[in-house]
Amino acid sequence: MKKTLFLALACTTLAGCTTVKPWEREVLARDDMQLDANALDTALDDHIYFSKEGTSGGRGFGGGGCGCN
Amino acid sequence: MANDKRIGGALAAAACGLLGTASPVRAPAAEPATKSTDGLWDVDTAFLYYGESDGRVQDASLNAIAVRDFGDDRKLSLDLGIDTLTGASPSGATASDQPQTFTSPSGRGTYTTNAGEVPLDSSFHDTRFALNAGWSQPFARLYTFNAGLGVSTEFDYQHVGANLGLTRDFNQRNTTLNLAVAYGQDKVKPVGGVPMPFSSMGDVVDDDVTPPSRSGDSEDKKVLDVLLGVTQVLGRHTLLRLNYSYSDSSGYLTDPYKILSVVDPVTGEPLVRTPPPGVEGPGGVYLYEHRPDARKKQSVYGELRQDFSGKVLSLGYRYSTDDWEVDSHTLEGRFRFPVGESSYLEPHVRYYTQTAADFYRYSLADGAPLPEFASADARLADLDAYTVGVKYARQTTGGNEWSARLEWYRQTSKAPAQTLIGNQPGNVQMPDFDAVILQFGYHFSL
Amino acid sequence: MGVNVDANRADAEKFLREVPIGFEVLYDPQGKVAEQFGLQGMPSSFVFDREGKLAHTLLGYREARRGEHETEILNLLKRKSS
Repeated sequence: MKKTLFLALACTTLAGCTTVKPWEREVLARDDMQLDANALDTALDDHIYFSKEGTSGGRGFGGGGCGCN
Repeated sequence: MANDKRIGGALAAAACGLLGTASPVRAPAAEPATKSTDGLWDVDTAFLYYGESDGRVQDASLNAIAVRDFGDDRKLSLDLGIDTLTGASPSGATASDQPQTFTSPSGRGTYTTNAGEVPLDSSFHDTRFALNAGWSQPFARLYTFNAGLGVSTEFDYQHVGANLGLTRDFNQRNTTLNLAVAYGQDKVKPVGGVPMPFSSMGDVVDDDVTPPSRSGDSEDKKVLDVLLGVTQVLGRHTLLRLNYSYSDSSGYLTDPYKILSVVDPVTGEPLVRTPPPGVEGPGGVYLYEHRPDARKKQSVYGELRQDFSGKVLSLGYRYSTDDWEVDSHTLEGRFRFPVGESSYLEPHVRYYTQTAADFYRYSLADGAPLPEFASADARLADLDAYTVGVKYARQTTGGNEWSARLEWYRQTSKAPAQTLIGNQPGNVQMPDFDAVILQFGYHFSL
Repeated sequence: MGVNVDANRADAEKFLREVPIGFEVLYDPQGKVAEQFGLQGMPSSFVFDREGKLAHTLLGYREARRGEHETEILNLLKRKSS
């Protein structure tokens, strides 16, 4: 895990790591490549797992709070 | 930025590699296609059914997220949810080779569990409403700001929360840093009042009498969350997100309805108790649980999105650790692939595993000193869970989308060996269950 | 003039069907012109005067600043012609 973290940080600091130019982003701009592509599904899942398991969160914010955990 | 001379030179050299040009004057013969996504609001709705095996919890909910774009990336999002819950969930008491009788949370009646069954407390027929509103907008070229408010209410629980976030892009928007903070304030108002820690489940009381050993009507809880994240483009087809989160909860973190069985230290069987004559009440000794009033959690989360010529794989991993010693790993994957012109299929798998809280107990031994904190809630035991499912979605000619999702969830838990008493090893019954998740969704523009 | 940088010509044609434009479009699927111009973001607009000198650069597009841009371009058109 430490190695992945280091690699990711290294990529962000070395600006030339793999710079995708602004005009090369046709794939990254697609709806299904967005990190919130399944926003409603994951929000509903997170609510289920929050009330059935001992850990919650980590992905982002928005919503939350119920008398279940 | 390139200087004037260079640009002029480029033009002069016609470095385009012209393959052809579109007709210079475009006759307005082709009407612009009016997609329904030309509307102002982008709305995603879903009906969700969640049902557990063996007469346990069932939940049906209606949800909608509506986003309105005000131009220039200024967005308002409204998220509404209504759900109704019925069924029974484990109370924390252990199974016994005799039938067991318990007092209901209101203190007005009793319920009985058969021999050899894990005691389930018939949950209340409860309806919950939740509303979240969020605003996001850019300021300066590379910054985005967002803020949100949320409320939720059910008859014994209320939540109010707010969140703020800031993102900044770097490296021609190949890298985005995200910082977000959320604060929540909850109020729990349990049926029958807040039980005092480790007080005994009492006998049935009359309508206008409060059950015994209650410390008050309600309790509060505060949660502060901080998230630091980075999104990094790794290539034309690859995106990576890494988040670090810190969460600090304080206040009333106990579940007011959960109990622990007091058992014989040799046999491990629940003690038998006879209520006073003429009175109904528990047939055993059951103590209300008690959790610490603080919990600090940290987690790291990573998600990778990879395109394979139109098919998308997303892999996520989260590691979480806290000062209750609940450590967990979550691994999740989705693979979306197109089916025909306008549909897609998306299988999904998830694996979750956690270690028990240090105060988790399967039961309490009669005569032994009480621990400072204890809970028999299986959600705080050693736990494994698997989810397998698939989603199917289809676009309509108007640009809207129908979808259906079916998932199967299986949870198994284990009581750590050191929490077992007397003859319990080999005799432990954990409230494992299966559940089905069925969702129908419709995504459209208004 | 517009320079289209879609790697896939079909994507460009789909866009042009939905958003008809009245000016000429040149195709640069390998992004060579984009590279030479050192684009910092999409869309980018460059206004050249009659001598071929770069007179105005516009990075990105904001509906809120539409009037401002129109005025800028009209002013440039009004400048002495050679």
